[in-house]
Amino acid sequence: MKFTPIIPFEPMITDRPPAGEQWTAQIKWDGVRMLSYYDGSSTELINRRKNNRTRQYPEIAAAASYCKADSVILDGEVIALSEGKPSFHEVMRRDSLKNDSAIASTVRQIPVLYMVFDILYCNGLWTMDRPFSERRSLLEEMLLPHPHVQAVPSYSDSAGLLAAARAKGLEGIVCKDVNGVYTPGGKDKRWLKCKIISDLNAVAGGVTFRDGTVNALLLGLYGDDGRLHYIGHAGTGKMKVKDWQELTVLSHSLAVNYMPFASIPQRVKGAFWIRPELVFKIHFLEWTESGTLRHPSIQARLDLSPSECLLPNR
Amino acid sequence: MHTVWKGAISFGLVHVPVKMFSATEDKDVSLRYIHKACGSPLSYVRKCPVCDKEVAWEEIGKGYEYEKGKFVVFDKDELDTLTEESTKNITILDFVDLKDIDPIYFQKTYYLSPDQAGAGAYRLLMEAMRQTGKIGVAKISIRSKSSLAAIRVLENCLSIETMFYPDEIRPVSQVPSLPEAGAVNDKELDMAKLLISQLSTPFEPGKYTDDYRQRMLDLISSKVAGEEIRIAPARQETNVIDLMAALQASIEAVQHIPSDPGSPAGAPAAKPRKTAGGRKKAAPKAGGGTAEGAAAAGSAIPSDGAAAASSPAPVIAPKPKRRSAKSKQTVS
Repeated sequence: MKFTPIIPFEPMITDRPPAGEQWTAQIKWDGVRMLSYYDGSSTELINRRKNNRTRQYPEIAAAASYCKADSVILDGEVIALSEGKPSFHEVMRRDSLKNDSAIASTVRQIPVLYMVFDILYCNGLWTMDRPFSERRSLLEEMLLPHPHVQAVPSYSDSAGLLAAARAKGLEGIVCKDVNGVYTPGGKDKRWLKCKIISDLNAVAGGVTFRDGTVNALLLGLYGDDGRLHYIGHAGTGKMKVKDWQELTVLSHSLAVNYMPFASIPQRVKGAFWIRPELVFKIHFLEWTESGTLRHPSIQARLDLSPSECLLPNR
Repeated sequence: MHTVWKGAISFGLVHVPVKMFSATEDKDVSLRYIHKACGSPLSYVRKCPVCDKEVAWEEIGKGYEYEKGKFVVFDKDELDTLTEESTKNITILDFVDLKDIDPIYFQKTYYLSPDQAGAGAYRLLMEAMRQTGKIGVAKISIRSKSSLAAIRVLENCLSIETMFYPDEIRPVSQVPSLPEAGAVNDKELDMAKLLISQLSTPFEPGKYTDDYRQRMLDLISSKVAGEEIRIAPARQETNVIDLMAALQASIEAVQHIPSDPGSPAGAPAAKPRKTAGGRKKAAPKAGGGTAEGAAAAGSAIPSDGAAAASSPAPVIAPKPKRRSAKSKQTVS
C-alpha cells in the first residue's frame, strides 16, 4: 500500500510560552520538516511540500531500522549539527543534492539526525485522532535505538526549556496541547512555537558588489498588493566564498534595468537590480519600526518560489 | 577573483590606479599528510629544538645564516625599511617590443583592472599600447619583493608579467655537454625539416590537458565511490545526545533551586536511573525491554514539574559515547 503524502500540522507563533498542565514543551529543532512513510516494505521520506527526499537521506531511509511498527508514518525534523548546534545551512547542503555520488560522499561529511516528535499511523491504523500524550507514548514505544534517529523529549516546564534553549543558542521551543489531535494541513494553537531567533524566507531584488563579487543582498517580501516590499539588506551569515561566487554569476544572468521594489530601498547606493527569483532563508532579531529586519543574517539559498515570500500580517 | 595588490601605474605624468588579480591558477590536486594509523590529517607545530617547546608566532623572528650556525636577526620594522617607497606604484621605465624579451624572463602573470575612477586613464594607456604595439617594462613591489615586470595588452585588459632580473637567469654556458658548432648532414637536415613542417599547426591551447591530474582525479573518485576511504575520526562536538543532556541539566539546575522536599535525593537519584536506562538501551534486540524502558521514561513526563525534573531526559539517557561510536561504524 502506498501512502498519499500529507501536509504536516504547523504551530502558531506566540511571544510567551503557555503555562498549565495541558501543555508540554519540546525543543524546536532547526532543520527540514520530514515525514517518514513506511508501508511495511519500503520507506519514503517526504518533506512538507510533498517533495520526495528519500535519496537525500540514506541513513534514515529504512524506517524498519528505527521503528518496530509493521507500518508507520512518523513526523519530525531532519537536522545536521555544526559546532554542537543544529545548522540549517548544513542540512541544506544535504537537502539540495541531486546527484547520487555527491550524496554518497556528503553523507560522511554532514551526518544528519532525524528528530521525531509525532506518529500519525501505526500498524495499519491512523493515530492522528488520538491525543498528543497518547501519540507520544506510542512513538516512544515504537522507536528503536538508532544512531541517526532520536525521539524529541518533552518537558513540563516550558519556561525552563525556553531559557535552556536560549542559553544553548537554539531556535526556540514548541508547546503542544497534550489533548490535541493531529490535523493534516492544519495550523492552529494546539501547537505554539516560541522563537528565540526569528526567521523568514525573502526574495533578493538586488545585490551589491565588492571587488566584482556579490557581498550583500537587498531583500524583499510580497505584500497583499502584489508588490515587492524592501525589508532590509544582509551580507553576514552562512554564505561561503564559493556561495558568493555562484551568486555573482546568477546575479548577472538575472540583471534587470528597473528597480523591482515597491519603493526605493534605504540602501540604494551601488545596488544592482536583479529579477526577484532567488529565495533565501534569513534569521533576524526583530522588525524595526520602519518595517525592515534588525540584524538579518543569511542562512541558505532555498529552492522555493518567490511567490511564497509574503509579508506577515502585522 | 580577489585583489592581490592595489596601487597605480605611473609613467610620465599619467597615473592609472589599478587592482591586480592572479591570471593563472595552480590546479594541481593537493594531498595532505595523514596519520596512517587513525586517518587524521596532521597538524604542524613550530618547535624550538633547543628549548624543546612549541613556539608562538609572537616569539618568532627572522634571521640570515651568514656563516654556519651564526645568524643576523631582523625585526619586521627593519625589513620594512628596505622596501622601496614605490610599493604602491608600478613605474614604467621603458617601452619595448614584445619580441625583444625572451620568454625565459617571464615569471607569473596578473591581470590589472582600473580602480577608483581610473577607467579613463586605463583605457588611454591600453589603447596607446595597442596602437604602438609596445609593451612597458616596469618595476613593481609585491609584498616585500621587488620585481621587474612587463605590462602588455591582452584582449581588452592590461596584464602584467613579473620577470626575473637578468642575474637570476643562469647563462646557457653553464649547461654541460652542449655540442660544438659544426656541420650537419644536409640530407638528415632536410628530413628533420620535413618532419617539422608536417607537425606544424597553429597553437591551440585547448587541446592540451593535464593527464596526470585527470588520472589523479579519476583515482580519487573511484576510491570515494568504492568507499575505499579514510575518514578522520568524528569530532565529539557534533553529538546531539550531549546537547540534549545539557538542556536537561540546565532545566534541572533552574528547577532544583525552589524548595522541593525530594530535591536532596534528586541529584544522586538521577545517576542510578541513568545507568538503568542505559542498560535497557544497551540490548536493543530485546524488543520488549526497550519498549518498557521507553514507555517508562515516557510515562514519567506528565505535567508534574518535579517528576519531569528528576527524571533524566526521557529517551536520551542511552550512553552517549557508545552511540557516537556506533554512528561512525554505520557511516563508514
